[in-house]
Amino acid sequence: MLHKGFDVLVIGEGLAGVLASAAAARQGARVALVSKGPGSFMLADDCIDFAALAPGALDSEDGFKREIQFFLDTAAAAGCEYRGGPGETISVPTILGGFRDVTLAPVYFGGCDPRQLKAVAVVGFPSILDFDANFVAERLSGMARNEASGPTYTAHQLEIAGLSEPPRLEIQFAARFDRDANFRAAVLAALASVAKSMDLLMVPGVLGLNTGTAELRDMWRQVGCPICEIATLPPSVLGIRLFRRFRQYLSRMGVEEFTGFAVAKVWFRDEHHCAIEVETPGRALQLEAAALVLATGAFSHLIDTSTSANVPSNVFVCGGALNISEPRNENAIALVTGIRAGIRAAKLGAGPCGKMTGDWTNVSTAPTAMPLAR
Amino acid sequence: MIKVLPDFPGPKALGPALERVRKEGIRCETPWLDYCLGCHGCEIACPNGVNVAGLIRRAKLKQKKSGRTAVRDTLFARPDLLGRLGSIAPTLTNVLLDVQPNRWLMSGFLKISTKRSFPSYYSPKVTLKRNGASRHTIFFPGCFIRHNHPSLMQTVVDVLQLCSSVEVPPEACCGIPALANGDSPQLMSDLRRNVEAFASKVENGASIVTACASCGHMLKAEYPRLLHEDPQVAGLARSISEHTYDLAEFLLEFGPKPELHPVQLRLAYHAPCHLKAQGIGRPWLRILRAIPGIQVEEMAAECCGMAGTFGFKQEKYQVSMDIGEELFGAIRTYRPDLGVSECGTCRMQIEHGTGIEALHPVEILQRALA
Repeated sequence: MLHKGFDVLVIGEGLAGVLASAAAARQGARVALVSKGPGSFMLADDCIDFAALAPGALDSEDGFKREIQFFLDTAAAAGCEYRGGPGETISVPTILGGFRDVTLAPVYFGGCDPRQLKAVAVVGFPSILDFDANFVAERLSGMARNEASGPTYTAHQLEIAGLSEPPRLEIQFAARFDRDANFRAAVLAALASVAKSMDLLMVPGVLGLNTGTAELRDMWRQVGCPICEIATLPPSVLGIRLFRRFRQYLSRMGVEEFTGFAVAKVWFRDEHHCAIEVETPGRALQLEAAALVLATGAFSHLIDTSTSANVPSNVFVCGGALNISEPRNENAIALVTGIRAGIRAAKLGAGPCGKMTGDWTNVSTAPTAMPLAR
Repeated sequence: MIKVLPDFPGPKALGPALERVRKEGIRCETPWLDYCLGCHGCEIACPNGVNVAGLIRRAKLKQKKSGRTAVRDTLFARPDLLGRLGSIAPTLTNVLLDVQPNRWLMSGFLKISTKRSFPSYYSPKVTLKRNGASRHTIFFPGCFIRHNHPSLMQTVVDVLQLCSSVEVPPEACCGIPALANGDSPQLMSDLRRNVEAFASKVENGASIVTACASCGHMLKAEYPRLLHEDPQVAGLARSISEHTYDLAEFLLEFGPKPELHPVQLRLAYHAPCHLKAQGIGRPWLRILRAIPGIQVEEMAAECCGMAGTFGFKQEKYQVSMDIGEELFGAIRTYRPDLGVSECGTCRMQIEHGTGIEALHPVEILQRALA
């Protein structure tokens, strides 16, 4: 039936907020996702690293296996498959011609470790100035020489045939790739011309804003070898692509989005009622729910989360808002705590009997009946 | 815009950056101002709350136009006048708007694209019932629904009458076409007329309901901003803004909880930019999903590219279609029975770009209520 209220409100649309929404929705909760805009995860290279996580920073009995599996399933269902898993290391190339070791990386980065291959072509497009194929190939070759192993890297600049006005920004290139079938065919044909006798193509991340894993594999087949897209400067096309895929997935799961306007106030009544006020045109928008997930990142002061006494029992803090992240591990923390917060909030939203015990821990804190703001 | 037109300077340049120069009294006229779709995406994106769209809009209102495009934009700024003229003899109007030689003339003299078809005109007719409901609503249909889609006007009234007594005022235009076409005198006349007509009614407890996302956004967000100078008028504008509801928002807040019959349809939903700019979520998706049998998904696309009268302009037709291609592609892939969107010109663009019929979501709700 028509409803005005929700079971769970999630504030913040970074990795933690998105995963909390997905987790709560998968528990059957009616979720509203409220945010001013996307978080930094969705604008960068989308990789997640657990190796830098200090032991004991978060509780886990199984090395975060369940949370990582949940993330892999969610990403795959959203149409952007990830590689990796607990204890694994994936080497992801960067636009500076180096490698970054991570635990989880999207399949956009190719299906294999480039360093295990024989011949890799680094391909640039002259109008995309942020990606210098010669520089990347030179640096990678230097590294291979020093390590006395690895493939030969060759640099190529590809002119796209019949293009009067080449796209200058990565996002323009990607949008045209989605929109213009001739352009797409010309780009893929140009890539295929380099792919002969190559094991992998490295290209800047520009192959479409809407490309999912299935389309990606189609492209690899069409070109004749796997393609590794390298994330360019934020907001990278890869990040935007992932963000759009997740948004679409959440929408399909029935999560309603309230984006573009900041949350001004949080109210708390008792352990089954909280509400927020959003600064929208005309009237402020008020949303009510049983539980609230606070995924506002490290710089928000919506609720003082510095001491657990300030946080009511149906408010679940996760991600950067926990203020326990380091730049190297913040995505891992967002992943684990976002999923836990979403599940706990949904169980609370479903009624008191669903209250969780010690299984998903350390996200939020002891109950206090303290009104927040006003 | 920047995705399809690499030369477009973007909202930051057209708004805040050029404003520094304009503030010095230096004229910075540029045709790029007319490529701002007025979608308010820049405002939503700005983390610091800069009123980017407002700066662009102000520059646009001051910019002088000349020649045939000036005549065209003067006409486009007055859809209510065109509607009133057109619906005197609607059959004749519709024939004239459709015949090819006339379209060539309009293209030659007024630079209106021959590739678009005009919506048909009808004499506006609506039947109201007295139902004794305590809540009173003013249904503000806007020019498109009033002059081009009167059956939708009746549908909205029928649904609203399930929970309120309804009036449909004779005032038609919210002013957004004048704003978009940079026509300051017409804009101020639209605003003043509506404030005079509605302010006392809303202060006596009536709610204004719109079924067009652009009218809704204009009344909610732009009236207080455009009418801020005179404190008394500003207060009235704020009252209007506070009491305006999108139809779905109103139904979820105050509507009945009726029994909904199954409707077997696969729907592609497009959220208009001016709905997103209202920040009220996706209330129609919530309602449509409550109807048994409905399968509905929001299309992963941004602006449809139509932007009211923008897509009718000859020099902007291709850009409009290029922007729309993302939405058209998403709809074609989804293969729906129908498209749905709460904006009239978004629906026109969907039909033009995909050949798939597009309805207002309340027309689906009406089937579920029948």
